[in-house]
Amino acid sequence: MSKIEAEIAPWALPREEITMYVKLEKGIEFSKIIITLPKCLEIKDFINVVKHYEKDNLIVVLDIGKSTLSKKDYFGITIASVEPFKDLAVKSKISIQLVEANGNETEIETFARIFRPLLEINKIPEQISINDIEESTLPIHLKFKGFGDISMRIEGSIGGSLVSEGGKSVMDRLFHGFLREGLFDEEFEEGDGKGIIIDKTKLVRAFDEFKAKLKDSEYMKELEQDKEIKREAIEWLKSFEEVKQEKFMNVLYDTMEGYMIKKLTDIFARNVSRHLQIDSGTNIIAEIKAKLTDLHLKIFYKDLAGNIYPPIQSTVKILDKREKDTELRVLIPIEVENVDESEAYQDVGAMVIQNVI
Amino acid sequence: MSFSASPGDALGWFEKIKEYFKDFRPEAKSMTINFSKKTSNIGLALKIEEGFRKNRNKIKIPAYPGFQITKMQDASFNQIQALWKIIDGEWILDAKDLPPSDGYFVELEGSIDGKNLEGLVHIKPSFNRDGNDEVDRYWLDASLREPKKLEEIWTELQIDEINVGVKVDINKLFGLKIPQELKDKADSLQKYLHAGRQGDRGLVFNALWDFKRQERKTPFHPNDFLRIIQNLTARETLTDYLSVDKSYNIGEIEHPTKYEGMIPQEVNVQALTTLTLKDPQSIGYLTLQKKLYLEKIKEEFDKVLKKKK
Repeated sequence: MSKIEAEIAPWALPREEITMYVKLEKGIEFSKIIITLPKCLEIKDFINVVKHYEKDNLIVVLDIGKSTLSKKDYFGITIASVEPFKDLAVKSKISIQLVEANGNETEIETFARIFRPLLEINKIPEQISINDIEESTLPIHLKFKGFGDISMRIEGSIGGSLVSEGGKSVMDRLFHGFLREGLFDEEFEEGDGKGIIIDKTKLVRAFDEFKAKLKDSEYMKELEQDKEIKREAIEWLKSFEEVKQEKFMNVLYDTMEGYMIKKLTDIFARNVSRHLQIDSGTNIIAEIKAKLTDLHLKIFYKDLAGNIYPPIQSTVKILDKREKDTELRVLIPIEVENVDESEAYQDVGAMVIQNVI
Repeated sequence: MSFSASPGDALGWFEKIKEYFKDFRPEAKSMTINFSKKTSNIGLALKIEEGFRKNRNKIKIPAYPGFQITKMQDASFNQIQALWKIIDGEWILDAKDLPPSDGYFVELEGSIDGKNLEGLVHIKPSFNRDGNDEVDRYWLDASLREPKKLEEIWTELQIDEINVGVKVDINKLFGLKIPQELKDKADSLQKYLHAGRQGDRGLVFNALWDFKRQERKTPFHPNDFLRIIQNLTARETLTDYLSVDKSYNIGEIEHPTKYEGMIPQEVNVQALTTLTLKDPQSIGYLTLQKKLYLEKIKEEFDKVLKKKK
């Protein structure tokens, strides 16, 4: 090997910690090793550095722990980009200068390779209409570019008020509640090879317990504060009458099996493409007061390092063609019909990057 | 900014032990840490003078939770059985029972606090996979934070089962292969449920009819799918599609959110490695044979649909 070598993680997201190791030939005595970082990178941690000082964007390493047993001496630093870059792929140059005790100098360089995602709207209707007969949907085609798995949240507003909802339905809520409370424990044991069996008597008991919980004002408060539950669901829970319950339970028994199918497909529906997952905001629920209403959409997305990117925005006009029940709130599901991933990066570890920052 | 804790913190109990054995010139020989189990095994060489043995002296070590004496050997590596006894909160060895030997070797096992372990080792897997149509790759990185300090105490040190785990997003893969039949069935069910909640008899009847028709068309039970997903995300199956560079092993495959909609959202794959003073760094890749795995998902889903038709 040469006197000094650097080894760095081959790819990272913005703000993700990147480990860079510096390895030295055994027996090299140095007076200092100077690492020059670009301004866009910050230092997060040191590995096996005994003595150092920092000045502006320089890190001067004066001493490291040298073990007699290892084949090479090494130390490491972890760094991260301060902000996400605009470019989808950048490399940031890091220089490492070895100043030996005998005055010899060797300089090497390496690059932090940072990649990010970018989401765009490919196609969205300028206008949709609602009528008395069928449900209207809002189809969106998206384009994913760059790198990284993202989750997105859609926020819709009319006249400044939020009208988007989504996330968990009341059925989901019940189901998860049962699971969390351990009411389905035995039925949901994995590994017996039988899958999931639902016991009707247990279900009734579980539902009764849930009903009792609804009378607990603290529990209700908690439910109301839960942003994941639809407003509609809370209203329904509050006005829960025995007669309605009967009906609901009858449907529930018959369809519990079907509900499991729904759960299966829901999860798949949220994972709309290889890189994109929908977190919430898949429905617009609003009172439409005018014949023509502007619906403003914002799509937020974040990567696995938790970086939230500037939202993409669009406006869709809603044309109200209803003649009956015009005061009723309408539900418009947003359907992500297509995600074009033709410009998603592959093999970023080996990618040639032009942008040096 | 986080800086590492000193190795001394992690090895606190060892310092105490050395103190208890101080009359017998303890020499630290080896230390093996199991990172996943949070235990450490320490090998200590002792000199017990003949006079001490013959005078029927006893060695007493306070016993406290989280540490025990597991083994004792003489200089020729013969195991000395069951000499240590716990009496009134102390480990006691009656020296008169010891066979004559130039030296002895005691092995002790203790627990290590997780935080302190983190101070010994730097671990950083990549957050996001890289890859192409064939494979997904994850970067794995582990190293000793302060090898020099460890070497000052130990002639041999090994940290086993360091987990540089990665999260593999399994839902996305299943999502890519979900059969249309399942989606259709879910749609008809959704309508049925909706009708049921509205309490309109006509609506319920129509929706039910539609649902039953769908049911006749594709009469599978959702359990068939759940079972497949459980099998496909189980360790036995997934390990056929996962590989790691040679300094790593695949450990457990955990389903941390197994009840989230009954399907694991993601699975935690343990990539285990060992660090020693000789090899203080372990860097490599974990690879998922994505294309083959997707083909397997499709094959298994198709089996359910074909069987029922």
